[in-house]
Amino acid sequence: MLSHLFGKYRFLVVSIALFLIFDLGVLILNFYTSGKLAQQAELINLAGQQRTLTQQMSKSTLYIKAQKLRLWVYQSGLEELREHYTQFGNTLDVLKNGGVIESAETGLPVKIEAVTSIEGRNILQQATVLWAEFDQVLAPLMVDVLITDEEIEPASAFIASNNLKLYRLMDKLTEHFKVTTERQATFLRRAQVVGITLATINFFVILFHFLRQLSGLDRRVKVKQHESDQILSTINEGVFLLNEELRIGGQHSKQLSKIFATKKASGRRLKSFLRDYFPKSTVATAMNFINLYFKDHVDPVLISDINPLKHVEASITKPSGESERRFLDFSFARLDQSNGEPRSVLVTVKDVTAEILLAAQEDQAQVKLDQKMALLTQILPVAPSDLDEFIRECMGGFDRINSLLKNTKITKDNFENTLTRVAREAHKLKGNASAVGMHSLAEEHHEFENSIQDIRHHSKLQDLSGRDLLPLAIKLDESYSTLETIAELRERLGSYQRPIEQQGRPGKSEVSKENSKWRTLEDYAQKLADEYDIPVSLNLRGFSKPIPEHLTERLYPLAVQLLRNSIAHGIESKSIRANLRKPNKGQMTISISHDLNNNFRFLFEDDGRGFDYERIRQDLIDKNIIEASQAKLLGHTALVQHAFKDSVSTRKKSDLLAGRGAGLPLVWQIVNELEGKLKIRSVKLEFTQFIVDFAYVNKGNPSPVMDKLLKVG
Amino acid sequence: MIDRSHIEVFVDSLTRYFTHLNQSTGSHSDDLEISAPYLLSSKELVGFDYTGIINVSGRHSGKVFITARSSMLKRILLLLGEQELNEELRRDLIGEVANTLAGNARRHLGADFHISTPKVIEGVIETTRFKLSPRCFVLPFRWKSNVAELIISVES
Repeated sequence: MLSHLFGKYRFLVVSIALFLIFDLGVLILNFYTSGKLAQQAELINLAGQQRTLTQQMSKSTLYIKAQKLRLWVYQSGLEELREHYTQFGNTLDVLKNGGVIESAETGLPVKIEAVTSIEGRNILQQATVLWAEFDQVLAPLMVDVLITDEEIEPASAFIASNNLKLYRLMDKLTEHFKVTTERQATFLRRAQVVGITLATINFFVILFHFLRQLSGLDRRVKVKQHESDQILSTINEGVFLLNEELRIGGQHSKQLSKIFATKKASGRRLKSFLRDYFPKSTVATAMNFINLYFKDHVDPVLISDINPLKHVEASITKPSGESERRFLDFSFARLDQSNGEPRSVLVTVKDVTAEILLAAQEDQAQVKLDQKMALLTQILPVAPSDLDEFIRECMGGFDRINSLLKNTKITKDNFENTLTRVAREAHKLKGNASAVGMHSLAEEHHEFENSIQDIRHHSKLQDLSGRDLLPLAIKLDESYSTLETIAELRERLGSYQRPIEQQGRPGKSEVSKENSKWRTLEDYAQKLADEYDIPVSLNLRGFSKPIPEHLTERLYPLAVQLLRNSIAHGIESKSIRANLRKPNKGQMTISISHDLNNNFRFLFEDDGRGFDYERIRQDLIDKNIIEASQAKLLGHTALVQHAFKDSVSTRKKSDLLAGRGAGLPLVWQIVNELEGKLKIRSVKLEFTQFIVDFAYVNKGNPSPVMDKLLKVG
Repeated sequence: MIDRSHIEVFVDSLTRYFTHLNQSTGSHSDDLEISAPYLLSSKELVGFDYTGIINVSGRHSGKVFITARSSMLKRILLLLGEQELNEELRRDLIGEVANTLAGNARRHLGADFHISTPKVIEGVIETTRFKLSPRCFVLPFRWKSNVAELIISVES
């Protein structure tokens, strides 16, 4: 690593080393030269001191001579002379040979090296020679305390004549030392200038190099930053890094701000960030999942398919305060670590709202298409005129139900009355739809009846409220929509179906073209027979001449209900019929006839088992309509009257065909609407016959005078 | 297509409003009676004296109307302690009721259920003006013998 660093930063290391060498060189030179200069200064001082000593020795000699002539005391002069003599001699010796001597400035001992310069040695040599002569004349004065004239006179004379020579030599020595010192000082300055100059140059070289490198680095960083910014601002996904503390990194794509409608994502804890957009439970699950990406032993590939943040719904609050639902896809990628770098995970967020909504729309469209296809397959076998009539009747039925709901007064009795009437209307619609082959609508009506049953059950527990009838309005709306779809399909397919209709359908009964709707009962009876495995044969009589449309609207549902009733309750199964030695197929007949006064007779008969009075009685008891004791007293007529008025049924379970006890009350309602007279003949195990007599006035106005009688034959 | 849960939210909201009104004014709590709901063709005319209208947008779109007779609004104003029962106050009140109902519903239907400030109209609602769904859901109700209707035309 050191070599790597050294290699990478070689120039920097060399430059700094040179800088230090230059600085250190100057420092060492400075230190050395300073020492030299200090010594030179000491030499200058010593030389200067020698120069002074020559004068003082001369003065002391003259003083001693003058005092002696006056016979005064001269001892102080002698001591001074001896001191100067000794000091001069020692100093001269040290300068010449080196040694320790007291500093001229501080008085402290200093070590002096011998003077080595040629000029200095010459001066010292001359001074030594001269001092030897001085020594010769002064030596006698150093012996005793009493000085004789013979001792002082020659010394005084010699010093007077040679003192100046010695002074000049010492002065010359001082100057020599000064020059030498000056030379050394000059050298030191130059060396310092050179050293500092080199160091400064080196510093600028380093600085320039650094600046150039920083500039290059900045440029590269800027380019990378620019590229990174371009990528992050252009990328169509929210991208950010997640560190081990589960914090969002400092940089993220621009799209992330757009997706979450916030600029405050950087540096936030992911958990806190997600809580702004997702339910707590989602965030908790997500954080547990994300933590797995920071565990080394977990393979990201293996956990990617349990990502809880796929197609997750977020509630985004825009800066305007508006909230918007968005679907987001989060994906995670663990980043490779090298050189002990902290672990991090790359998170990508994609707004898939458009895709999800489109898929939902496609699903809805597909469901609608499937529904339409199902409806289409039900529509195609139906003759257009029959379908038109069915649509019209059905729409009328829906409107009647809606009208019943609309005109309900707010009382429990009214609600129950509404329910009863709505139930009958729904049952009629179910029968008609089933007869025409519109099973989707038949099933919707069956569900509608189920809702009524649920509401009735609920009303036994507490008072009914309009709120309880909510499901009826909802289902009615659905039925309206289905019927609208049928009408739309009918409109589109109309031109294709007419030729088929014109061909007519083969059948054993003679039915005029205008009465073709009645022919559908043959198909319907066959369909029910196949479905419930009860073979039947339906005979239509009296349909060779046109029946008024308005009359068909009334009688057709009546026939449907009786036909359904017959298959559900009347006609026996194959095996039972065989045991009873009846024909294999149950025989059903529907006939219509009238006299010249427009007195009509509608007849429905079958060769089934007839009314099961005991079952009717039991159902009345089971449904708490009549108490058991009273029920036992009821005769056949009374039991059948109950069957036409109350919701009694001899079937244990209700299904699409029967079981709610709604069919016969509906028959009774239609007979009432026709203001007709209903006769019933029923012989156990032999047959049942329903005869409706009514007066019909064209333009759709039934005769106003008709007693509603119920006779049981 | 009308969503049952949405209708129930509005019915709950209506019930809550009048329950709160009854409680805060010391009235009998059973004064609100809800009649059978029915469907209204977008071409039919409807509306009593004053109607508050809220626009709904977001995940669902459409309109919510609350229409009431002047007598009901006067009664509420009196209960709320108003001395003046003038037209302006009645208009403000029906708008406030509409806003409260939609606001309560918003709490249940989520933040993606946006409601507008209420508009108020007088007299018959010209349904053709409002681009309503083919069938609206009408919930008639009676409060202290005064009839009113909540009309919902919201589709997902």
